[in-house]
Amino acid sequence: MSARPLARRELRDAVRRWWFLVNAGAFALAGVLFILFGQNDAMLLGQRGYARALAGLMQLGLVFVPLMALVPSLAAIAGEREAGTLDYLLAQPVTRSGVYRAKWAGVVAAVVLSLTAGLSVTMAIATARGVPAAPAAGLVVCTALLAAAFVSLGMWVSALTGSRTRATSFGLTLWLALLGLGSLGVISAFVRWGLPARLLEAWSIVNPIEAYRLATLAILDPDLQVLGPVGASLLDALGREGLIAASAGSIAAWTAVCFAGGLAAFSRSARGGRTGSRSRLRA
Amino acid sequence: MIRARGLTKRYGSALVLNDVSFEISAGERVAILGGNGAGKTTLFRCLLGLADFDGTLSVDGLPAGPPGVDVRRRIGYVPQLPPVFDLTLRGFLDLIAGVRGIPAGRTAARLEDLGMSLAQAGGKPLRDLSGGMLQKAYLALALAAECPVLLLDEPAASLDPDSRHELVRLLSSVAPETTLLLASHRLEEIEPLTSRLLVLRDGGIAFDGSLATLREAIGGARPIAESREAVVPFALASAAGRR
Repeated sequence: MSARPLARRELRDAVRRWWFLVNAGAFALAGVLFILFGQNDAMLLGQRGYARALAGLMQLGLVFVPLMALVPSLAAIAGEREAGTLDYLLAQPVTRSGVYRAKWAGVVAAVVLSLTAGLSVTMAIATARGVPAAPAAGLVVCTALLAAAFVSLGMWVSALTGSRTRATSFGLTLWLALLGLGSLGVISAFVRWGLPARLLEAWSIVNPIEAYRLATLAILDPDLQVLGPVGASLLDALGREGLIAASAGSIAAWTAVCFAGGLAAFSRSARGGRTGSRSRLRA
Repeated sequence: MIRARGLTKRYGSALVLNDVSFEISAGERVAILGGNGAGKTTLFRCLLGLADFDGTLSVDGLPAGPPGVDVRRRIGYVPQLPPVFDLTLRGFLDLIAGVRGIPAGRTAARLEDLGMSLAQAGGKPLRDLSGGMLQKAYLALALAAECPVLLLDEPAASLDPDSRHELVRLLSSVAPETTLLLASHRLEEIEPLTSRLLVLRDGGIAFDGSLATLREAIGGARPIAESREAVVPFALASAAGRR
Protein backbone atom coordinates (compact mmCIF):
# COMPACT_ATOMS: atom_id res chain seq x y z
CA MET A 1 0.00 0.00 0.00
CA SER A 2 1.51 3.29 -1.02
CA ALA A 3 0.75 6.84 -2.07
CA ARG A 4 2.78 6.43 -5.28
CA PRO A 5 -0.35 5.98 -7.44
CA LEU A 6 -1.39 9.47 -6.28
CA ALA A 7 1.80 10.98 -7.72
CA ARG A 8 1.26 9.12 -10.98
CA ARG A 9 -2.32 10.37 -11.08
CA GLU A 10 -1.20 14.01 -10.60
CA LEU A 11 1.28 13.63 -13.42
CA ARG A 12 -1.18 11.88 -15.74
CA ASP A 13 -3.89 14.45 -14.97
CA ALA A 14 -1.53 17.33 -15.67
CA VAL A 15 -0.31 15.88 -18.94
CA ARG A 16 -3.92 15.62 -20.11
CA ARG A 17 -4.73 19.25 -19.28
CA TRP A 18 -4.50 22.15 -21.68
CA TRP A 19 -1.95 24.10 -19.66
CA PHE A 20 0.64 21.38 -20.04
CA LEU A 21 0.66 21.61 -23.83
CA VAL A 22 0.28 25.40 -23.79
CA ASN A 23 3.33 25.75 -21.47
CA ALA A 24 5.47 23.44 -23.53
CA GLY A 25 4.34 24.97 -26.83
CA ALA A 26 4.67 28.58 -25.64
CA PHE A 27 8.20 28.04 -24.36
CA ALA A 28 9.30 26.20 -27.46
CA LEU A 29 7.83 28.89 -29.71
CA ALA A 30 9.19 31.80 -27.67
CA GLY A 31 12.61 30.18 -27.51
CA VAL A 32 12.76 29.56 -31.24
CA LEU A 33 11.69 33.18 -31.92
CA PHE A 34 14.32 34.54 -29.53
CA ILE A 35 17.00 32.40 -31.16
CA LEU A 36 15.95 33.48 -34.65
CA PHE A 37 15.97 37.15 -33.65
CA GLY A 38 19.26 36.60 -31.82
CA GLN A 39 20.75 35.53 -35.13
CA ASN A 40 21.26 39.17 -36.13
CA ASP A 41 23.06 39.92 -32.86
CA ALA A 42 25.10 36.76 -33.31
CA MET A 43 26.43 38.03 -36.64
CA LEU A 44 27.80 41.09 -34.82
CA LEU A 45 28.54 39.73 -31.37
CA GLY A 46 29.15 36.02 -31.94
CA GLN A 47 27.90 33.72 -29.17
CA ARG A 48 27.07 36.71 -27.01
CA GLY A 49 24.25 37.47 -29.42
CA TYR A 50 22.63 34.13 -28.62
CA ALA A 51 23.25 34.65 -24.92
CA ARG A 52 21.40 37.93 -25.25
CA ALA A 53 18.53 36.08 -26.97
CA LEU A 54 18.41 33.45 -24.22
CA ALA A 55 18.45 36.24 -21.62
CA GLY A 56 15.31 37.54 -23.30
CA LEU A 57 13.77 34.09 -22.91
CA MET A 58 14.79 34.15 -19.25
CA GLN A 59 12.97 37.49 -18.77
CA LEU A 60 9.85 35.80 -20.11
CA GLY A 61 10.48 32.85 -17.82
CA LEU A 62 10.76 34.86 -14.64
CA VAL A 63 7.30 36.27 -15.21
CA PHE A 64 5.54 33.14 -16.42
CA VAL A 65 7.33 30.15 -14.85
CA PRO A 66 6.05 31.03 -11.34
CA LEU A 67 2.56 31.45 -12.73
CA MET A 68 2.72 28.12 -14.56
CA ALA A 69 3.85 26.44 -11.37
CA LEU A 70 1.26 28.12 -9.18
CA VAL A 71 -1.81 27.29 -11.28
CA PRO A 72 -1.77 23.50 -10.70
CA SER A 73 -0.15 23.59 -7.26
CA LEU A 74 -2.66 26.01 -5.74
CA ALA A 75 -5.45 23.61 -6.75
CA ALA A 76 -3.63 20.46 -5.64
CA ILE A 77 -4.91 20.35 -2.04
CA ALA A 78 -7.58 23.07 -1.91
CA GLY A 79 -9.26 21.69 -5.05
CA GLU A 80 -9.47 18.17 -3.58
CA ARG A 81 -10.68 19.62 -0.31
CA GLU A 82 -13.39 21.58 -2.06
CA ALA A 83 -14.50 18.58 -4.13
CA GLY A 84 -14.66 16.40 -1.00
CA THR A 85 -12.20 13.92 -2.51
CA LEU A 86 -9.41 14.69 -0.03
CA ASP A 87 -11.23 13.07 2.88
CA TYR A 88 -11.75 9.89 0.91
CA LEU A 89 -8.06 9.76 -0.03
CA LEU A 90 -7.13 10.27 3.61
CA ALA A 91 -9.52 7.47 4.61
CA GLN A 92 -7.21 5.07 2.77
CA PRO A 93 -4.23 3.43 4.50
CA VAL A 94 -1.80 6.21 3.64
CA THR A 95 -0.28 8.88 5.84
CA ARG A 96 -1.15 12.54 5.38
CA SER A 97 2.50 13.27 4.70
CA GLY A 98 2.54 10.47 2.11
CA VAL A 99 -0.43 12.03 0.32
CA TYR A 100 1.20 15.48 0.43
CA ARG A 101 4.57 14.21 -0.80
CA ALA A 102 2.94 12.24 -3.62
CA LYS A 103 0.92 15.21 -4.80
CA TRP A 104 3.95 17.51 -4.58
CA ALA A 105 6.10 15.08 -6.57
CA GLY A 106 3.38 14.65 -9.19
CA VAL A 107 2.84 18.41 -9.67
CA VAL A 108 6.58 19.17 -9.71
CA ALA A 109 7.15 16.43 -12.28
CA ALA A 110 4.30 17.72 -14.46
CA VAL A 111 5.36 21.37 -14.34
CA VAL A 112 9.06 20.66 -14.83
CA LEU A 113 8.28 18.25 -17.66
CA SER A 114 6.10 20.78 -19.48
CA LEU A 115 8.67 23.56 -19.11
CA THR A 116 11.70 21.50 -19.96
CA ALA A 117 9.93 19.93 -22.94
CA GLY A 118 9.53 23.41 -24.44
CA LEU A 119 12.90 24.69 -23.34
CA SER A 120 14.72 21.62 -24.61
CA VAL A 121 13.60 22.40 -28.16
CA THR A 122 15.05 25.91 -27.80
CA MET A 123 18.26 24.67 -26.27
CA ALA A 124 18.73 22.07 -28.97
CA ILE A 125 18.47 24.81 -31.60
CA ALA A 126 20.69 27.15 -29.56
CA THR A 127 23.45 24.59 -29.15
CA ALA A 128 23.17 23.65 -32.83
CA ARG A 129 23.90 27.32 -33.59
CA GLY A 130 26.98 27.43 -31.46
CA VAL A 131 25.79 28.31 -27.97
CA PRO A 132 27.78 26.12 -25.56
CA ALA A 133 25.68 23.30 -24.11
CA ALA A 134 26.60 23.99 -20.48
CA PRO A 135 24.99 27.47 -20.17
CA ALA A 136 21.93 26.24 -22.08
CA ALA A 137 21.60 23.30 -19.68
CA GLY A 138 22.15 25.69 -16.76
CA LEU A 139 19.20 27.77 -17.89
CA VAL A 140 17.00 24.67 -18.04
CA VAL A 141 18.11 23.58 -14.55
CA CYS A 142 17.49 27.05 -13.08
CA THR A 143 14.06 27.18 -14.70
CA ALA A 144 13.21 23.75 -13.28
CA LEU A 145 14.42 24.91 -9.84
CA LEU A 146 12.26 28.03 -10.00
CA ALA A 147 9.26 25.93 -11.02
CA ALA A 148 9.86 23.56 -8.08
CA ALA A 149 10.10 26.50 -5.68
CA PHE A 150 6.78 27.93 -6.83
CA VAL A 151 5.07 24.54 -6.83
CA SER A 152 6.18 24.20 -3.18
CA LEU A 153 4.93 27.70 -2.38
CA GLY A 154 1.63 27.04 -4.17
CA MET A 155 1.08 23.77 -2.33
CA TRP A 156 1.82 25.43 1.01
CA VAL A 157 -0.83 28.05 0.29
CA SER A 158 -3.15 25.29 -0.93
CA ALA A 159 -2.66 23.32 2.30
CA LEU A 160 -3.51 26.38 4.38
CA THR A 161 -6.66 27.39 2.56
CA GLY A 162 -10.09 25.85 2.40
CA SER A 163 -11.06 26.61 -1.17
CA ARG A 164 -9.49 26.78 -4.60
CA THR A 165 -10.61 30.40 -5.06
CA ARG A 166 -9.00 31.55 -1.83
CA ALA A 167 -5.81 29.62 -2.60
CA THR A 168 -5.64 31.16 -6.07
CA SER A 169 -6.10 34.72 -4.83
CA PHE A 170 -3.45 34.29 -2.07
CA GLY A 171 -1.03 32.62 -4.46
CA LEU A 172 -1.38 35.20 -7.19
CA THR A 173 -0.97 38.03 -4.67
CA LEU A 174 2.29 36.43 -3.52
CA TRP A 175 3.45 36.06 -7.12
CA LEU A 176 2.70 39.71 -7.90
CA ALA A 177 4.42 40.83 -4.69
CA LEU A 178 7.59 38.85 -5.44
CA LEU A 179 7.56 40.01 -9.03
CA GLY A 180 7.02 43.65 -8.09
CA LEU A 181 9.58 43.54 -5.31
CA GLY A 182 12.53 42.63 -7.54
CA SER A 183 15.68 44.66 -7.03
CA LEU A 184 14.64 47.19 -9.66
CA GLY A 185 11.21 47.43 -8.07
CA VAL A 186 12.49 48.22 -4.59
CA ILE A 187 15.61 50.16 -5.52
CA SER A 188 13.76 53.48 -5.36
CA ALA A 189 12.50 52.63 -1.88
CA PHE A 190 16.07 51.88 -0.77
CA VAL A 191 17.26 55.19 -2.23
CA ARG A 192 14.31 57.05 -0.69
CA TRP A 193 14.96 55.70 2.82
CA GLY A 194 18.72 55.51 2.51
CA LEU A 195 18.86 51.80 3.33
CA PRO A 196 22.22 50.05 3.05
CA ALA A 197 23.06 48.61 -0.38
CA ARG A 198 23.99 45.25 1.22
CA LEU A 199 20.38 44.88 2.31
CA LEU A 200 19.20 45.36 -1.24
CA GLU A 201 21.74 42.80 -2.44
CA ALA A 202 20.58 40.34 0.21
CA TRP A 203 16.96 40.90 -0.80
CA SER A 204 17.86 40.25 -4.43
CA ILE A 205 19.30 36.88 -3.48
CA VAL A 206 16.40 36.04 -1.16
CA ASN A 207 13.63 36.87 -3.64
CA PRO A 208 13.37 33.68 -5.76
CA ILE A 209 12.36 35.51 -8.93
CA GLU A 210 15.27 37.91 -8.64
CA ALA A 211 17.60 35.05 -7.69
CA TYR A 212 16.53 33.22 -10.88
CA ARG A 213 17.30 36.33 -12.94
CA LEU A 214 20.74 36.71 -11.37
CA ALA A 215 21.60 33.02 -11.64
CA THR A 216 20.58 32.65 -15.27
CA LEU A 217 22.30 35.88 -16.34
CA ALA A 218 25.46 34.84 -14.53
CA ILE A 219 25.27 31.46 -16.28
CA LEU A 220 24.60 32.88 -19.75
CA ASP A 221 26.95 35.85 -19.75
CA PRO A 222 27.89 37.79 -16.61
CA ASP A 223 29.09 40.71 -18.69
CA LEU A 224 25.62 41.37 -20.01
CA GLN A 225 24.52 44.82 -18.98
CA VAL A 226 21.03 43.54 -18.13
CA LEU A 227 22.44 42.22 -14.84
CA GLY A 228 21.67 45.67 -13.38
CA PRO A 229 23.50 47.64 -10.67
CA VAL A 230 22.62 45.24 -7.84
CA GLY A 231 23.62 42.21 -9.89
CA ALA A 232 26.88 43.84 -10.95
CA SER A 233 27.69 44.68 -7.35
CA LEU A 234 26.92 41.10 -6.31
CA LEU A 235 29.07 39.80 -9.15
CA ASP A 236 31.96 41.90 -7.86
CA ALA A 237 31.43 40.68 -4.33
CA LEU A 238 30.78 36.97 -4.96
CA GLY A 239 32.32 36.28 -8.34
CA ARG A 240 30.46 34.42 -11.09
CA GLU A 241 30.44 30.98 -9.46
CA GLY A 242 29.55 32.48 -6.09
CA LEU A 243 26.65 34.42 -7.57
CA ILE A 244 25.33 31.34 -9.36
CA ALA A 245 25.68 29.20 -6.22
CA ALA A 246 24.06 31.80 -3.95
CA SER A 247 21.15 32.44 -6.31
CA ALA A 248 20.49 28.77 -7.11
CA GLY A 249 20.90 27.95 -3.41
CA SER A 250 18.29 30.57 -2.54
CA ILE A 251 15.78 29.06 -4.98
CA ALA A 252 16.53 25.58 -3.63
CA ALA A 253 16.05 26.89 -0.09
CA TRP A 254 12.64 28.32 -1.08
CA THR A 255 11.72 24.88 -2.39
CA ALA A 256 12.82 23.15 0.79
CA VAL A 257 11.28 25.67 3.22
CA CYS A 258 7.96 25.90 1.36
CA PHE A 259 7.77 22.12 1.00
CA ALA A 260 8.43 21.66 4.73
CA GLY A 261 5.95 24.41 5.61
CA GLY A 262 3.23 22.89 3.45
CA LEU A 263 3.90 19.41 4.79
CA ALA A 264 3.71 20.66 8.38
CA ALA A 265 0.51 22.62 7.71
CA PHE A 266 -1.13 19.65 6.03
CA SER A 267 -0.05 17.21 8.74
CA ARG A 268 -1.12 19.58 11.52
CA SER A 269 -4.64 19.80 10.11
CA ALA A 270 -5.16 16.15 11.13
CA ARG A 271 -5.20 17.17 14.75
CA GLY A 272 -8.77 18.38 14.69
CA GLY A 273 -8.09 21.41 12.59
CA ARG A 274 -8.87 21.80 8.92
CA THR A 275 -9.36 18.24 7.76
CA GLY A 276 -11.21 18.81 4.58
CA SER A 277 -14.82 18.93 3.51
CA ARG A 278 -15.97 18.22 7.01
CA SER A 279 -19.26 19.98 6.57
CA ARG A 280 -20.18 17.57 3.76
CA LEU A 281 -19.31 14.54 5.78
CA ARG A 282 -20.66 15.53 9.12
CA ALA A 283 -23.81 13.67 9.95
CA MET B 1 -13.10 -5.63 17.36
CA ILE B 2 -14.19 -2.02 17.96
CA ARG B 3 -14.11 -0.49 21.40
CA ALA B 4 -15.02 3.06 22.46
CA ARG B 5 -14.64 4.43 25.98
CA GLY B 6 -15.73 7.96 26.83
CA LEU B 7 -15.52 9.00 23.18
CA THR B 8 -16.09 12.74 22.98
CA LYS B 9 -15.85 14.94 19.92
CA ARG B 10 -16.46 18.66 19.62
CA TYR B 11 -16.52 20.84 16.54
CA GLY B 12 -15.88 24.26 18.04
CA SER B 13 -18.57 24.73 20.65
CA ALA B 14 -20.80 21.98 19.22
CA LEU B 15 -20.61 18.75 21.18
CA VAL B 16 -21.25 16.04 18.59
CA LEU B 17 -20.28 12.94 20.57
CA ASN B 18 -20.48 13.08 24.34
CA ASP B 19 -18.88 10.36 26.44
CA VAL B 20 -19.91 7.55 24.10
CA SER B 21 -18.93 4.01 25.07
CA PHE B 22 -19.64 0.75 23.30
CA GLU B 23 -18.02 -2.49 22.25
CA ILE B 24 -18.53 -4.33 18.98
CA SER B 25 -17.30 -7.90 18.57
CA ALA B 26 -15.72 -9.32 15.44
CA GLY B 27 -18.34 -10.37 12.93
CA GLU B 28 -21.13 -8.31 14.46
CA ARG B 29 -23.48 -6.46 12.09
CA VAL B 30 -24.36 -3.17 13.72
CA ALA B 31 -26.61 -0.38 12.51
CA ILE B 32 -25.69 3.09 13.68
CA LEU B 33 -28.96 4.95 13.65
CA GLY B 34 -29.77 8.56 14.29
CA GLY B 35 -31.15 11.66 12.68
CA ASN B 36 -29.14 14.22 10.78
CA GLY B 37 -26.38 15.64 12.97
CA ALA B 38 -26.59 12.80 15.49
CA GLY B 39 -22.89 12.03 15.07
CA LYS B 40 -22.93 8.93 12.86
CA THR B 41 -20.46 10.28 10.30
CA THR B 42 -18.38 11.88 13.05
CA LEU B 43 -18.04 8.47 14.69
CA PHE B 44 -16.82 7.07 11.36
CA ARG B 45 -14.39 9.98 10.94
CA CYS B 46 -12.95 9.26 14.38
CA LEU B 47 -12.55 5.57 13.50
CA LEU B 48 -10.79 6.48 10.25
CA GLY B 49 -8.38 8.85 11.96
CA LEU B 50 -9.78 11.84 10.06
CA ALA B 51 -10.62 13.68 13.27
CA ASP B 52 -9.09 13.78 16.71
CA PHE B 53 -11.22 13.13 19.79
CA ASP B 54 -11.14 12.70 23.55
CA GLY B 55 -11.52 9.28 25.14
CA THR B 56 -10.32 6.02 23.67
CA LEU B 57 -11.30 4.27 20.49
CA SER B 58 -9.67 1.16 19.11
CA VAL B 59 -10.07 -1.21 16.19
CA ASP B 60 -8.69 -4.72 16.49
CA GLY B 61 -6.71 -3.55 19.53
CA LEU B 62 -5.09 -0.68 17.63
CA PRO B 63 -5.75 2.88 18.73
CA ALA B 64 -7.88 4.80 16.23
CA GLY B 65 -7.45 8.50 15.55
CA PRO B 66 -4.67 10.33 13.69
CA PRO B 67 -2.45 9.10 12.11
CA GLY B 68 -4.34 5.77 12.07
CA VAL B 69 -2.76 4.12 9.02
CA ASP B 70 -2.81 0.66 10.59
CA VAL B 71 -6.44 1.08 11.55
CA ARG B 72 -7.42 2.30 8.08
CA ARG B 73 -5.72 -0.75 6.59
CA ARG B 74 -8.38 -2.79 8.41
CA ILE B 75 -11.32 -0.67 7.28
CA GLY B 76 -13.24 -0.60 4.02
CA TYR B 77 -15.23 2.63 3.83
CA VAL B 78 -18.12 3.96 1.76
CA PRO B 79 -18.77 7.66 2.41
CA GLN B 80 -22.21 9.15 2.78
CA LEU B 81 -21.80 11.41 -0.25
CA PRO B 82 -19.40 9.65 -2.61
CA PRO B 83 -17.12 12.45 -3.82
CA VAL B 84 -16.63 12.90 -7.53
CA PHE B 85 -12.97 12.60 -8.58
CA ASP B 86 -12.00 14.16 -11.87
CA LEU B 87 -11.31 10.70 -13.26
CA THR B 88 -12.97 8.01 -15.32
CA LEU B 89 -14.51 5.12 -13.42
CA ARG B 90 -11.60 2.89 -14.41
CA GLY B 91 -9.06 5.56 -13.46
CA PHE B 92 -10.70 5.99 -10.07
CA LEU B 93 -10.86 2.27 -9.33
CA ASP B 94 -7.25 1.81 -10.44
CA LEU B 95 -6.12 4.74 -8.26
CA ILE B 96 -7.72 3.49 -5.05
CA ALA B 97 -6.92 -0.15 -5.81
CA GLY B 98 -3.30 0.93 -6.32
CA VAL B 99 -3.21 2.84 -3.03
CA ARG B 100 -4.80 -0.06 -1.14
CA GLY B 101 -2.90 -2.80 -2.95
CA ILE B 102 -6.07 -4.52 -4.15
CA PRO B 103 -5.20 -7.19 -6.76
CA ALA B 104 -6.16 -6.39 -10.34
CA GLY B 105 -9.57 -7.68 -11.35
CA ARG B 106 -11.01 -8.02 -7.87
CA THR B 107 -12.72 -4.61 -7.91
CA ALA B 108 -14.19 -5.30 -11.36
CA ALA B 109 -15.56 -8.60 -10.06
CA ARG B 110 -17.22 -6.89 -7.07
CA LEU B 111 -18.64 -4.29 -9.44
CA GLU B 112 -20.09 -7.08 -11.58
CA ASP B 113 -21.64 -8.54 -8.42
CA LEU B 114 -23.39 -5.20 -7.97
CA GLY B 115 -24.76 -5.38 -11.49
CA MET B 116 -22.37 -2.91 -13.08
CA SER B 117 -19.98 -3.69 -15.90
CA LEU B 118 -16.54 -2.10 -15.87
CA ALA B 119 -16.16 -2.96 -19.54
CA GLN B 120 -19.18 -0.79 -20.33
CA ALA B 121 -18.86 2.02 -17.82
CA GLY B 122 -15.08 2.08 -17.24
CA GLY B 123 -14.41 4.90 -19.69
CA LYS B 124 -17.10 7.21 -18.29
CA PRO B 125 -16.00 10.15 -16.13
CA LEU B 126 -17.26 9.81 -12.56
CA ARG B 127 -19.19 13.08 -12.97
CA ASP B 128 -21.32 11.41 -15.66
CA LEU B 129 -22.32 8.49 -13.44
CA SER B 130 -25.60 8.48 -11.56
CA GLY B 131 -25.56 8.65 -7.75
CA GLY B 132 -26.37 4.95 -7.60
CA MET B 133 -23.56 3.96 -9.95
CA LEU B 134 -21.14 6.09 -8.00
CA GLN B 135 -22.19 4.47 -4.76
CA LYS B 136 -21.72 1.04 -6.30
CA ALA B 137 -18.19 1.95 -7.39
CA TYR B 138 -17.28 2.98 -3.84
CA LEU B 139 -18.97 -0.09 -2.45
CA ALA B 140 -17.12 -2.35 -4.88
CA LEU B 141 -13.81 -0.89 -3.68
CA ALA B 142 -14.72 -1.34 -0.02
CA LEU B 143 -15.70 -4.95 -0.64
CA ALA B 144 -12.70 -5.68 -2.85
CA ALA B 145 -10.34 -4.51 -0.10
CA GLU B 146 -11.55 -7.51 1.98
CA CYS B 147 -10.99 -5.70 5.25
CA PRO B 148 -12.07 -7.12 8.61
CA VAL B 149 -14.22 -4.02 9.18
CA LEU B 150 -16.66 -2.38 6.77
CA LEU B 151 -17.93 1.14 7.49
CA LEU B 152 -20.85 1.98 5.25
CA ASP B 153 -22.28 5.45 5.65
CA GLU B 154 -25.80 5.45 4.21
CA PRO B 155 -24.76 2.88 1.59
CA ALA B 156 -28.18 2.60 -0.03
CA ALA B 157 -29.05 6.30 -0.06
CA SER B 158 -28.74 6.67 -3.84
CA LEU B 159 -29.75 3.17 -4.86
CA ASP B 160 -32.97 2.16 -6.59
CA PRO B 161 -35.05 -0.67 -5.06
CA ASP B 162 -33.43 -3.35 -7.24
CA SER B 163 -29.94 -2.17 -6.36
CA ARG B 164 -30.87 -2.05 -2.68
CA HIS B 165 -32.01 -5.64 -2.92
CA GLU B 166 -28.68 -6.46 -4.60
CA LEU B 167 -26.80 -4.61 -1.88
CA VAL B 168 -28.58 -6.54 0.85
CA ARG B 169 -27.81 -9.80 -0.94
CA LEU B 170 -24.17 -8.84 -1.37
CA LEU B 171 -23.66 -7.65 2.19
CA SER B 172 -25.38 -10.78 3.51
CA SER B 173 -22.75 -12.80 1.71
CA VAL B 174 -19.81 -10.90 3.25
CA ALA B 175 -17.54 -13.20 5.23
CA PRO B 176 -19.09 -13.90 8.66
CA GLU B 177 -15.96 -12.71 10.48
CA THR B 178 -16.29 -9.27 8.85
CA THR B 179 -17.54 -6.61 11.22
CA LEU B 180 -20.14 -4.43 9.57
CA LEU B 181 -21.12 -0.93 10.69
CA LEU B 182 -23.94 0.64 8.74
CA ALA B 183 -24.91 4.23 9.40
CA SER B 184 -28.40 5.14 8.40
CA HIS B 185 -31.46 7.05 9.38
CA ARG B 186 -33.74 4.56 7.67
CA LEU B 187 -34.54 1.42 9.59
CA GLU B 188 -36.01 -0.27 6.53
CA GLU B 189 -32.65 0.05 4.82
CA ILE B 190 -30.59 -1.78 7.41
CA GLU B 191 -33.09 -4.05 9.07
CA PRO B 192 -32.33 -7.15 6.99
CA LEU B 193 -28.60 -6.71 7.47
CA THR B 194 -28.04 -6.06 11.13
CA SER B 195 -28.42 -7.86 14.38
CA ARG B 196 -27.81 -4.89 16.64
CA LEU B 197 -28.90 -1.27 16.69
CA LEU B 198 -26.83 1.51 18.17
CA VAL B 199 -28.85 4.68 18.25
CA LEU B 200 -27.14 8.04 18.57
CA ARG B 201 -29.10 10.99 19.84
CA ASP B 202 -28.02 14.32 21.32
CA GLY B 203 -24.39 13.23 21.26
CA GLY B 204 -24.94 10.06 23.28
CA ILE B 205 -26.20 6.51 22.84
CA ALA B 206 -29.97 6.51 23.15
CA PHE B 207 -30.36 2.81 22.53
CA ASP B 208 -28.05 -0.17 22.21
CA GLY B 209 -29.65 -3.53 21.59
CA SER B 210 -31.44 -5.76 19.17
CA LEU B 211 -34.28 -4.78 16.92
CA ALA B 212 -36.57 -7.02 18.93
CA THR B 213 -35.68 -5.14 22.10
CA LEU B 214 -36.39 -1.85 20.38
CA ARG B 215 -39.75 -3.17 19.19
CA GLU B 216 -40.53 -4.17 22.73
CA ALA B 217 -39.39 -0.79 24.03
CA ILE B 218 -41.66 1.17 21.77
CA GLY B 219 -44.51 -1.10 22.71
CA GLY B 220 -45.49 -2.04 19.21
CA ALA B 221 -46.63 1.51 18.57
CA ARG B 222 -45.85 0.96 14.92
CA PRO B 223 -44.24 -2.01 13.23
CA ILE B 224 -40.60 -1.13 12.67
CA ALA B 225 -40.52 -2.87 9.31
CA GLU B 226 -43.04 -0.38 8.01
CA SER B 227 -41.18 2.59 9.35
CA ARG B 228 -40.29 5.43 7.09
CA GLU B 229 -37.43 7.73 7.93
CA ALA B 230 -39.73 10.27 9.57
CA VAL B 231 -40.93 7.61 11.98
CA VAL B 232 -37.52 6.56 13.20
CA PRO B 233 -36.76 9.57 15.39
CA PHE B 234 -40.20 9.20 16.98
CA ALA B 235 -39.66 5.53 17.66
CA LEU B 236 -36.21 6.12 19.02
CA ALA B 237 -37.32 8.98 21.18
CA SER B 238 -39.99 6.73 22.61
CA ALA B 239 -37.52 3.94 23.12
CA ALA B 240 -35.04 6.23 24.80
CA GLY B 241 -37.76 7.61 27.05
CA ARG B 242 -38.82 4.17 28.23
CA ARG B 243 -35.35 2.84 28.98
